[in-house]
Amino acid sequence: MQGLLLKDFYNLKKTMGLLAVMLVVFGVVFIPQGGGLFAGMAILMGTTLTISTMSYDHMAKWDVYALSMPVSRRQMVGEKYLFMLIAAGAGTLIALAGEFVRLASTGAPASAFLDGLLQTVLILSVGLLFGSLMLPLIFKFGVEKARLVMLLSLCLPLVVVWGGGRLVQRSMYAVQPASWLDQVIVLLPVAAAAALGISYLASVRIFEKKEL
Amino acid sequence: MTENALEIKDLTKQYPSFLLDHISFSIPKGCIMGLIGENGAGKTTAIKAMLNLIERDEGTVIILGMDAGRDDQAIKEQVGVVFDDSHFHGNLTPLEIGAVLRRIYKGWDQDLYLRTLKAFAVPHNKKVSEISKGMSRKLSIAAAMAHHPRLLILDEATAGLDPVVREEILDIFQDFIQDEEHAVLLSSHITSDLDKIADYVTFLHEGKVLLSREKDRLLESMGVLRCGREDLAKVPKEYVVKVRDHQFGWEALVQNRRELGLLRPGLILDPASLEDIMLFHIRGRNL
Repeated sequence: MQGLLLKDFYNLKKTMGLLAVMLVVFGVVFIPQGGGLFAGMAILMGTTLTISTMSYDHMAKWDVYALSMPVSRRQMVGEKYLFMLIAAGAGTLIALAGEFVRLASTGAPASAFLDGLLQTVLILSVGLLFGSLMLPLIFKFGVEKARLVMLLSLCLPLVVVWGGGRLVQRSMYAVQPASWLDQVIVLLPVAAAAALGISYLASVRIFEKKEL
Repeated sequence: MTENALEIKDLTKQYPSFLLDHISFSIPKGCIMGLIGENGAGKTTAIKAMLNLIERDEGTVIILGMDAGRDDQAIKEQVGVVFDDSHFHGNLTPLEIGAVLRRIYKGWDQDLYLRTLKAFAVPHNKKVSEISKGMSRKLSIAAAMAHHPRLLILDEATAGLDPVVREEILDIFQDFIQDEEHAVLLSSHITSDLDKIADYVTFLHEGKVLLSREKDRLLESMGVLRCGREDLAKVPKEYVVKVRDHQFGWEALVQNRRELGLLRPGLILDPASLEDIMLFHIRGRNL
């Protein structure tokens, strides 16, 4: 597992440098605006990086080679989920840092920091829901065929994440929050965790039957 | 304790347009087995089925005394595999590949890996995408041997390389086999490579094993007879394996060539190479 993770990080060395620069630029532009757009971008980058690693693996025909070594199919699938959690986790930390810097610089009250944390966790949940949908699709169809889905992946989550962020904001500042909305928001992280579990099991099932 | 490094029995895999049909062969320890056949004969399918990369429909595979269906991971700790293409990412350097693989194989020997790279003159810090095909193949071999495998499985490992690199690589396999516990399965359609180093030969054609024998005995027995139609008619049928006709006369692949030479002293009988045997089986016909 460690070896597989290391392989992915080595592969993305260059890409990650580029993404870091992009994040700085986005940060400067979008963090002052608030509303979770920067968080959405940072977390989305984390999940799409996982897809990039699968694309690299496909180009190198890595799966065939990896399975000729003492690596099980379950480990190969597990590593991609672990990678996604690490990358999305890193995106979350960066997003939180950005949000906290914004709040501190505007002299926001302490409760706003809690709101910022909640908002970021909810955006992370949306990001993981998206990843949970994508990974089994890629294990099943390969990156090539999942390209259409990947195209959607660039637009749809942004809209969803951004829309989600607005929704969260509205619900927080509404005088009387709609009770159903509160429940949905509380359930989002739970749904993301459940989706991750189901998605992992589905991917294992798909990949164990895959002929390479 | 088994004396075979690899035993395959009735290995079968059905695809919509191809059938790997109950193939069986075994490789004794200390030997190199050449798996020959034209492109599409089933060599790669057989290797993939051995390694559990595709599901077997039937048959058993015993590698180093262990059942491939049950002991997949334990087997792969002791097997080194080289494919025809480099399967390493172009972004990685040989040093990074070593760092990855040492975390995968329990028995990884980093010193041996670095020594082998040095001996092969593979640059440590150049990206895989920037090194030549020959270098990349040597890198794959160094990576496949650095965990002290007991069985090497090589799928077209010499294909597309120039004769000098090919010979260097064949020398490596012959050194490997000096340890009597080691064995090599070398699939190739370049039969001259196998003429040089194989101890046993298994010939696959259209998904079936046409023959699986000790190479020296096979080459000792087989011959190519060049003659006219009348002379061919005088040869007892049990000697003739396959025949081909061309504009200047007939050619026949015969077995027990020395015996036939004594029986019919006037015939022009040449020793057959693996390539002759392969071509007669694929392009020739029965008498």
